[in-house]
Amino acid sequence: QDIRRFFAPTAAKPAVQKPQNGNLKAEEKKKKKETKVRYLSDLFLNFASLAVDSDSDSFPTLKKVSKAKQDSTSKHTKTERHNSPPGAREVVKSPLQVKTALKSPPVPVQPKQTPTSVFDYFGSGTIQRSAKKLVASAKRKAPTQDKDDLISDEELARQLQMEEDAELEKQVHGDEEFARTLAMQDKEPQAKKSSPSQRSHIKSEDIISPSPKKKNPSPAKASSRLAMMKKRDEEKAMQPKSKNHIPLTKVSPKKEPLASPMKFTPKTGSSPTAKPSLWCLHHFVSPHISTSPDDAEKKKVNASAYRNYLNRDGPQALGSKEIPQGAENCLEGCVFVLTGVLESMERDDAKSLIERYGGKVTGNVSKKTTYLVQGRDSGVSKLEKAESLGTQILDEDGLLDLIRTKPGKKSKYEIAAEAQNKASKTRTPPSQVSKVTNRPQKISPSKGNSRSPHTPSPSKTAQIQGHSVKGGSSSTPPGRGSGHMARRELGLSSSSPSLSSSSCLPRGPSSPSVSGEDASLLWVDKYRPLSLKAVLGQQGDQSCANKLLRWLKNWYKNNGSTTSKAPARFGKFGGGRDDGSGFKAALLSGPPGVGKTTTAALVCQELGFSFVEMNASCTRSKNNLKEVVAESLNNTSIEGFYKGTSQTVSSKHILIMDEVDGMAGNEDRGGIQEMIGLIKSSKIPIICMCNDRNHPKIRSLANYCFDLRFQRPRVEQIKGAMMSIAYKEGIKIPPPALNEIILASNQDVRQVIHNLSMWSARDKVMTYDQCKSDAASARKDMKLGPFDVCRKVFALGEETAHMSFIDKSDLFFHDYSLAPLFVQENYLHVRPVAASGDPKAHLVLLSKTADSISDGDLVDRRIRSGQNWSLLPTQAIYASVLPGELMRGYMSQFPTFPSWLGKNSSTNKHSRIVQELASHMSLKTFSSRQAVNLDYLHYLRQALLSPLQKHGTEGAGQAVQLLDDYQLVKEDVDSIMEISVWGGQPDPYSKLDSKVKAAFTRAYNKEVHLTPYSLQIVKKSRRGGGESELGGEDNGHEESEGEDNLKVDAMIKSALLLYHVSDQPGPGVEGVNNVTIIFCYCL
Amino acid sequence: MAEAESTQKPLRSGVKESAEVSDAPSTSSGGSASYEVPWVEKYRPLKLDEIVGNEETVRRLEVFSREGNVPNIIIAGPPGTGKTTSILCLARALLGASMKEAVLELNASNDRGIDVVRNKIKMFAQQKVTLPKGRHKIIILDEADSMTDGAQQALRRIMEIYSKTTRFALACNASDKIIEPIQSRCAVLRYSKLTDGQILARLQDVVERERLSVSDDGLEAVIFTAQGDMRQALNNLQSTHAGFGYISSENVFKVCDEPHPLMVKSMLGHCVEGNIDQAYKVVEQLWALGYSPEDIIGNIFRVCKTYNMAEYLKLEFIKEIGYTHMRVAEGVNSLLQMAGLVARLCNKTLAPPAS
Repeated sequence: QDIRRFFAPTAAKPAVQKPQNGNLKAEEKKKKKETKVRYLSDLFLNFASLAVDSDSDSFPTLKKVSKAKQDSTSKHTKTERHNSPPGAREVVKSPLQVKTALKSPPVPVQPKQTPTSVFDYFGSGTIQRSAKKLVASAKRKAPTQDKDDLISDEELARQLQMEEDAELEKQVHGDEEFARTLAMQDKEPQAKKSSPSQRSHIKSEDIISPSPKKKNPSPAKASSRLAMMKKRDEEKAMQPKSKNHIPLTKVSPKKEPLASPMKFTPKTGSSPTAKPSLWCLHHFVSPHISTSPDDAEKKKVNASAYRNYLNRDGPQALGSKEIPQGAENCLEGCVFVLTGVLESMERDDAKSLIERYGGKVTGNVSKKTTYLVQGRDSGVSKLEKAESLGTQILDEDGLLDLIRTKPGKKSKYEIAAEAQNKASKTRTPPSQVSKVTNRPQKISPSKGNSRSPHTPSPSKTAQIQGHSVKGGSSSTPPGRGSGHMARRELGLSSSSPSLSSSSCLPRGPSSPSVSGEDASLLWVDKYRPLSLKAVLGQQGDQSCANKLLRWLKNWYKNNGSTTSKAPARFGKFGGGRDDGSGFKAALLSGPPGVGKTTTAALVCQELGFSFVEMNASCTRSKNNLKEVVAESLNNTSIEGFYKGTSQTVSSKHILIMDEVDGMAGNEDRGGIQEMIGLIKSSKIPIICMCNDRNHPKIRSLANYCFDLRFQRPRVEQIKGAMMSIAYKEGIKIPPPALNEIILASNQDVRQVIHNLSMWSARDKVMTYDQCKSDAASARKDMKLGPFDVCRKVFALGEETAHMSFIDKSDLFFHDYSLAPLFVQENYLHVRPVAASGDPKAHLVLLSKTADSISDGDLVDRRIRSGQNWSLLPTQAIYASVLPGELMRGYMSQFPTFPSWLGKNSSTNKHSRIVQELASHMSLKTFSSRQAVNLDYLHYLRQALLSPLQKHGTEGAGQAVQLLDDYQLVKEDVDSIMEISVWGGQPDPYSKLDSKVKAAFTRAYNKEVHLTPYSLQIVKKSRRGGGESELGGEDNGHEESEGEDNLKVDAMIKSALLLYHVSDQPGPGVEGVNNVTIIFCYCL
Repeated sequence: MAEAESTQKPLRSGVKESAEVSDAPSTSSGGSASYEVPWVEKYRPLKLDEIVGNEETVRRLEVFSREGNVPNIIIAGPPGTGKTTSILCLARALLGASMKEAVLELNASNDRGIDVVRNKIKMFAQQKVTLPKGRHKIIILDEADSMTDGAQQALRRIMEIYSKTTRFALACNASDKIIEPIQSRCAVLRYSKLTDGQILARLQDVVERERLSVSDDGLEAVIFTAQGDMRQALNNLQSTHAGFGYISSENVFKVCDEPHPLMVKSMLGHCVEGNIDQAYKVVEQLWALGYSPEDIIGNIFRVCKTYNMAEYLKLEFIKEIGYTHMRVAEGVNSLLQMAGLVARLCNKTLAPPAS
C-alpha cells in the first residue's frame, strides 16, 4: 500500500506528461530540493539515477580528470578513488572522454581536441538527461498531489487506476534487474581505457569490493567484457556511418529517454548510498563523505552504463517502413515495453502509434506486460526478464503486423460507461417514483442513478438522497443553472425516461435525439454534478468538499451561542485544528474549473441550507455590502416554508461570496475590508471563493477564513468522467487523445468539456491525430511568470527547439522591465551546452553573454532616458535572446530573484541614512555626505562602542556624552551600526551584552537631549499619546481596547506592542520619555 | 429534427436576401468610381462558408450554426483573419431575422468597464427574447483582450448563470490577455494567418468583380504588404486602385510607403554573400528615396529577424543592427552610419573563413 501510494499516479503520468514539458520542468526545479530530503528519508534510490546525476556535473570535473591522466598519475587517482565518491566519479568520467575522442575518426586519440564531436555527443547526452529527469519528476510529483485520492474509490476511474498502480508496482520491482544489467554491460568501457595501469586497478578494485547486491560480479564480468569488447569494435566501425548522420543522431536521442523511466526505484537504495547521491544532486563534490567502496563502484558502473546508452545510435532508417492502419483500439489492454533503438521510427513515434491504438507503453517489463518490442542495442535485463516472465517479444515488424492484424475492440472506458449506463437504466424506474418537482435535473434520484454499480454503501446514498430532496429543489434559485463541472455520473436523470432507455444504444452521429431541454444546455450544465459525491476529485474523506461539509455542519454549534468575537479571534491565531471550527467563514481557493462554486452550492444543498450568492457581477463596494448584505445576514429565510418543503421558518442560510478576487477597482472600493467586518459580526456562515489565494487583496481576508485549497483533479479522474460524457453524447474518442485534451487544458474539467463539445461538433468520431493537433492549438494561454521566462530563455531541448527567433524575443516581452534583470541574475547558473564542459569555452561564452547583457543595459538606459521605445526590440535581443542563445544549457538551480532589486533598495536606504546622519552632525562636522561616510562613521562607531565594550554598563554615560557631542539621537546609533558594517564582518554592536545595551538605552533616556533639528516624531507622539491615555487604566480594559485597535490597523498594532515593551522599565522613565517627546515635538 | 429544419429554412432565406442586397450595389458601383464603400465592408463574408482560411474551425462553427447550442467561444488570432466576421456570420446564421434584438455587440470603442459589464451586459443577459429551440442570445465582445481585468472578472459568473439563455462570443488578438477563468469557461478557437494563396484567391475574386486592371507583380506586392492580413490586403488594393487605377508593384509600394522590404531583403542577401558594393548600392538607393534612417534601420531589423540564414550569422547581424539602431536613435543618423553597418555586416560573413 505504501509504495502504491507513492507511485500511484505515475502509471499515467510518465507517458502522458511529456507534452507538458514546460510546466513540468519548472516543477522539477522547484522540487529538487525537497526531493533530496525525501531521498534520504525514504531511501528510494537507484544507482542509475545516481549515475545520471553525477553525470550531470561532469563538465567541471572533466578537466580535472584529463589533467590527471596527462600526468599519468594513476596511482594518485587510485588512492583517491578508493575512499571517496568524487574520485570514483572521475574515473567514470574519463572513459567517456576517451570514448568521445575515439568516436571521431579524423581526430587522434587525445581528449579535448575534438570540439565538434565532443559537442555532438555531449549535446545529445545532455538533452537526454534533462528529459529523463522529467520523467522522474513526474514520479516525484505524484505523492504530494494525490494523497487524498487514494481513499476514495467508488469511481470507475479509480478502479482503472488501481489496475495501473498494481502494474507499476511491479515495474518498480523490476528495476533492480535493469540496474544490474546496466552494470554488467558497462564493465566494458572501463576496460577500453587506454592506460593499462588504470585497467588493472579497476580489476583489483572489483576484487576488493565485492558488492553485496551483485551476486556474481566477476564471472559475468569476464565473459561480458569480451562480448562487449567485440561490440565496441563494431560500434567503432559504425562510427563513420553515424558521423554522416550527425543531425540525425543529434535529434534522436532526445526522444529516447522514454526508454528508461526507471530512474528512481525503491529497493536498490540503502542508507549509505543515499548520502552520496544527495551530494551528487547538489553538484557538490566533497571528499569528506565516506562511502563504502562498494557504492562508489556501483555508481561508476552505472554511470558508464548510462553513458553507453547515451551514445547509442539513433534510428538508421527513419520512415523506411510503412505504418499500417489498424483497427480501432486494437491494442487495447496490451502493455508494451520498448527497448533498444527501433530502426524505422523514433521511439516517440512508436509510442504514440501504440497509444493511438489504445495500447499502453511502460518503461519496465512486468507480469502485466504483454509485448516487449525489441530493437537494436536493447537492454539485456529487459529481455531476460521478459523471457523469464514469458512475455512475448516482438521486433519492429512484429509490432506493425500486430497493428495490422489485430481486431479492434471497444475501449474499456467505453465499456465501463456502457455498463454504467445500463446499471443506471435499470434503476430509473424507482428514481422516478421519488420525483418531487417537475424539474427533473434538480432532484435527488440522480444520485441513485449516478452511483456507479460499485458503490459500497447504499444506505448512505439513501441518506443523501433524503437530504437533497429537501434541499435540492428548494435551495437553488432558478437562475443558477450553473455548475462548472460535469461529472461522470449524472446527466441521465436530467433526461426523460425515454431518453435514458435509448441512451444505452450508441447514438449515431447524425441523430441529435436529445430531449428538448438538453438541447439548449451547455454540456457543462447538462453534466453538472448533482451530488457532492459526484464532484471530481472531492470524494475523499479529507477532501475540501468534505471538510467544508463538516465545517458547515458544525458551524452553529461552534458559533451559534457564543458571542462572535472570541472564537474568531482564537481561530485566527490557534488555527491548528483542522476542522476550522474557530472560523466564521471559509475561503475556497483553487484554479478555475475544478469545482469550487459547484462544491459550495452542493454542500449547501446537502445540508439543506439556502444561500445568497454574490459574485463579481454584482457591485460589492463597501456601502453596497453594508446595505445589502449586512441586513440579510440577520434575516431568516422563508423560502422553505413558502415552497412547502419544510414547516418551519429556517434560519439556516449562507452567504456565498464568489470570486472575491474580482472585487476590484473603484466600484468595489473597500469591499474586502467590509467583508472582513461582516465576517466578524456575521451570524451565518460565509463562504468566499477565489483563484489566487496569495493575491495581496485576498491575503488580509484569508486570515479570517477557514482555508480550503482545491487541487486540480488528476488526469485519470477527469478521463473517466469525460469518457462517460463522450459515450452519452455518442462521441468516439480514443482515450489517449483524451489525455492530450485534458493536459492541454491544464486539468481544467470545464474547459475539457467545452473543448469536447466544440471539437465533436463536426464529427462524432475523433481520431487521435486530430485531437492531438486540436489540443495543441487549444493549449490555454497563460501568462508566464518572470521565473518561467528566465528558465525558458536558457532552456534546451524540445521546448525551445521549435521556437522561432520572434518567439524567443517574445519571451522578453512577457515582462520587459524584469526580464533583463532575471537573465543577468541567472546566466551564471547555467551550464552551457555549447561549452561542452570546456572551462575555457565556458568562460568565453560567459564573457560574450556579459557583453550582450551590458549592451542591453545601454539600450535600456537609452529607452528610459529618452523615451525611445522603438528600441525595445533591440533590447529584447541583447538582454534576452542573445544570452539565451549563447548560454543555452541546464540551469543548476531554480532561477533566483534578481538581487539587484534588493541591493538597489538597500543602497537607497543607506544613502538616505548617511544623508540623515550628515545632516544631524552637520553643525559639528561641516562635511559632506561622502566625508561623513568615509571619514567619520568608522571612528564614530569605535568611539561609541569602546567605552561600552571596556566598561560595560559604566561606559554608557560616556557613549551618551559622545552622542550629545555630535548631536546625534539614539536612532542614529542603530543607523551607524547598520551602515558601517562591511560584508562578512560581524556587527560588534550586536555582540554587546544585552544588559549593557539596556543600560545604554536607559542612560540615554534618562535625560532630555537637545538637538538643533526637529525629530520625526509623528509616530512617537502617537505612541506617547497612547501611553498617557492608557497609562492609568487597568489591564483588562487595555486588552479589549488593544484588541479592537489591532484589527483596525497594523500600524497601531506595532505601536501598541512597542508600548507594552516600553511599559517594562517603570513609570519613572516613562514620564521622562513623555516629556522628552513632547518637548521634541514642541521644538 | 423536423422542427430544427423548419426553423433553418427561414433563416437561410433571410441570409440570402441580405446577401443579395449587399451584392447589388457592388455590381453597380463597380464601374462608376463616384462613391465607394470600403471594400473590406463590401466584401465581408455573410455566410460562414465564404470565410477564407482556417477551414477546420470554420466548418465546426458551421455545424453549430445549423444545430444551435453553441458553447461560449473565444476566437483568437492575428488581425485580418476573419474573427469578427466569423462571429457575425455565426450569429446571423443562428438567429437570422431576430439578430437585432438577440445580439449585443460591444467592441473596444464601447465603454466596457466593470460597471458596463455589471449593468448593460447583465441586463441584456436577463432579457427575454423569444427564440427557437437551441438558439440563444449572443453577446459578442470584440477585442476582448482590451477589457480590463476587473471587467473580465465581473463577466465570469454572468457567463455561467445565464448560460441557459445567453452565449458569449469573444474575439481577441492575444488570448493570454483573457484571464484564465474566462478561458476556462469557453472553447478556445485559434485562427492563424492566411496563406498567400488564400489571400490571392480572394483578391482575384475582388479584382474580377471590380473589374480592375492589375499586373501579377502588383497582386504579389499587395500580398506581401498584407502579410497574411486580409483586411490590409483589401485596403491596400483599394487605395492603390483609387490612387493610380492600375495595380502594379511600384504603385503598391508607393501607396504603402515604407522602405521596400524586398530591397532590404536583397541588401541583406548581398551582405550575407559579402558583396559590399551591391549592398551599399541598395542602402544608397533607399537613402536617396528619402526614407528616414530610423525607418530604414527599423525595417532592416524586422526583415533580418525573419530572413532565412544561418542562425549564428543572424544573431551577429542583429547585434550589429542593434548597435546601429542605438546610434541612430541617439541622433547620429547619417548615411555614414548605414554604410558602416553594411560594412560590418559584410565583415561578419567574411570573418569565419578567415579565422
